[in-house]
Amino acid sequence: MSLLEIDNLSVDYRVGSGSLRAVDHVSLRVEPGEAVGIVGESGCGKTSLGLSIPMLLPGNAEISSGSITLADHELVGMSEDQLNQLRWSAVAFVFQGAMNALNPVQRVDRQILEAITAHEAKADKHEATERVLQLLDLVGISPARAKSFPHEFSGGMRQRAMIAMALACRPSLLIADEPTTALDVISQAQILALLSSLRRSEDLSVLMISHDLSAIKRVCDRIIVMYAGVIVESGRTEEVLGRRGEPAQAAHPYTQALIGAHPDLHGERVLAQGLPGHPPDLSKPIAGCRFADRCPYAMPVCREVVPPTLAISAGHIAACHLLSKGAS
Amino acid sequence: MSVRYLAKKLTTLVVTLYVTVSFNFLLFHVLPGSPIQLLARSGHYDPAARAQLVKLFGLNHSLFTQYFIYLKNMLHGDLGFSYVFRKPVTTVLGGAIGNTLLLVGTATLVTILVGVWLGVMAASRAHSLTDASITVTSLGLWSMPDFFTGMILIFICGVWTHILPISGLVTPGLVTGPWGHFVDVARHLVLPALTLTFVNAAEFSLISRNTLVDVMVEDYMLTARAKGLRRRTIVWRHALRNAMLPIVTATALYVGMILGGAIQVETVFSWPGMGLLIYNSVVQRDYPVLEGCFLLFAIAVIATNFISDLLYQVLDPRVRRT
Repeated sequence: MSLLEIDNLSVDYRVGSGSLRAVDHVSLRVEPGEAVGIVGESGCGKTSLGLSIPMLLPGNAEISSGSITLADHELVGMSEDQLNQLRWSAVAFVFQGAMNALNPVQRVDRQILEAITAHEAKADKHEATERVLQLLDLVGISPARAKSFPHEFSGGMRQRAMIAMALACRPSLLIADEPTTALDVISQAQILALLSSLRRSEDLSVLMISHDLSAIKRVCDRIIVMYAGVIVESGRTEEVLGRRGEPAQAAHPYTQALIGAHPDLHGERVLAQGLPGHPPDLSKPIAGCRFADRCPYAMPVCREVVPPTLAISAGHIAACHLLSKGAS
Repeated sequence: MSVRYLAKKLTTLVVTLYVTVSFNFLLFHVLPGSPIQLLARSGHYDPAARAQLVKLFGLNHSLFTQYFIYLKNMLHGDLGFSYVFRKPVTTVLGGAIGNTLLLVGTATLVTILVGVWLGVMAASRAHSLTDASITVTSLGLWSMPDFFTGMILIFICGVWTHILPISGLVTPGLVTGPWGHFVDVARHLVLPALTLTFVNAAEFSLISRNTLVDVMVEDYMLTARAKGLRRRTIVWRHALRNAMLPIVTATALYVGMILGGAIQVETVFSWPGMGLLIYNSVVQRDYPVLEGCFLLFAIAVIATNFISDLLYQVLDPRVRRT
């Protein structure tokens, strides 16, 4: 039984008079204790996918099809009151490091305490306060700093406080959307190490959204590559991205391009390759493969027929015509 | 809040007050017309009487000396002598200030409560029909001058329906107990206070709506939703607290506006406060009284700005100096 099951999820945004499909019939599973990474460039729908799980999409977005099941609860169509009970207690969120995710005029401990008291009406005030300090300690923030305001913290500390807050109601799923973006490399490393250790000690499932392949590699068991609203490849991180010293076995040209755009510290010294062009305009219908315009291997069939999703090995799938021909 | 910050703000306050007081002195000395002429209420007067008046009011001294006498007298609580009432200005102001405080205070309280509440209602349903109606109504009310709104209210409530008194503070000749007096004053208060409230609450609702709409899309609002907090908690605890800062600024500016509005409204409703006093003093050229009124209004505005500066320190930890 998967913890999170997303089936055929589509998310549409109203834009002007038309609409834009940011997430197009995406299905994915997250098992208990598993860490899954979603990677893709800006606008590929990864954040919309993440926000749709606790139904936090902005007002101009709607889920037009599909279902989201979290620990046997169907979230699509659930009432706001019921959702509020599941939010943070079943699924917590860590937002982008660059964001003002903490309220600037409230002390940090108060913000964490608020999450606890909102979900545990009978919580003992003293015990709850004690738990806040434990949580901060868990992420490496001294209890002496608990009464600080967010602006008195460094970017890395703010993000660690955010993680402490995310753990406040002992969620089973943690969604981390670009948790290390805009942090310095030392803080990035700390946050990633913290996430890797917490998912084991706190028995968490993690869904990490990032454009940073090395961050995903560091934390996640499985990787899902999204392009223009669809999943183009998914598989074990080690297999898709390659283990240290071993070549990546990415099957989709887009995944290969992403890996190529990323310098590898341990591999052969080659110049990182850029990926020219832009993702397609999602407000217009697209025939065939969405990546065809930027794909160096594009064939005539790619612009006409949507590529089928094919299994490459156990748990490794990709959607590309090159694979169905058996040539590459 | 540090003592140093407070000291700095107090220094600014004192300097601003001093400059205002000096400007107030200068303003009335550069105005055309001789004070003696005004005092005598006539162009023809006996030279001996003139000399006596000049001496009585210290006009034989140089402007510089007069300035220091003016400062000295002010510090002693002496604001001069009214030409019209033939009483000390402080006595004249004392009779009016309470009525203005009652009117402006009531209007301010209602303005802030109703204005902010309407703003919250509009912002939490942004771009809905509720939002549109509140915004359009506010814009309409805000665009109307106080005296115009006042006259419409007089027409509807006084002339048409006779449900409320339209002028004065009390019903003339009414003999009644303390409770009866309270009710009578309250009934007289409704229309002028309502007029001031209409214009200003409209402004407050627009400001709070717009700040709240901006705050609503802040990242921490998404966090608050993700935490599973109830909508009311999100709006009142997280959004409004952050939106308070521009609202406090608006309140400080508003005091100047409402005092200006009080002149019009008190005139329209014959409310015996400082606004009506200013109007009458302008008509009758009672300069000492005008000077006194200007001074009080200036003090009110400066003091409110001082308080709003201090409130900022309390409301926004980011500007707090340690």
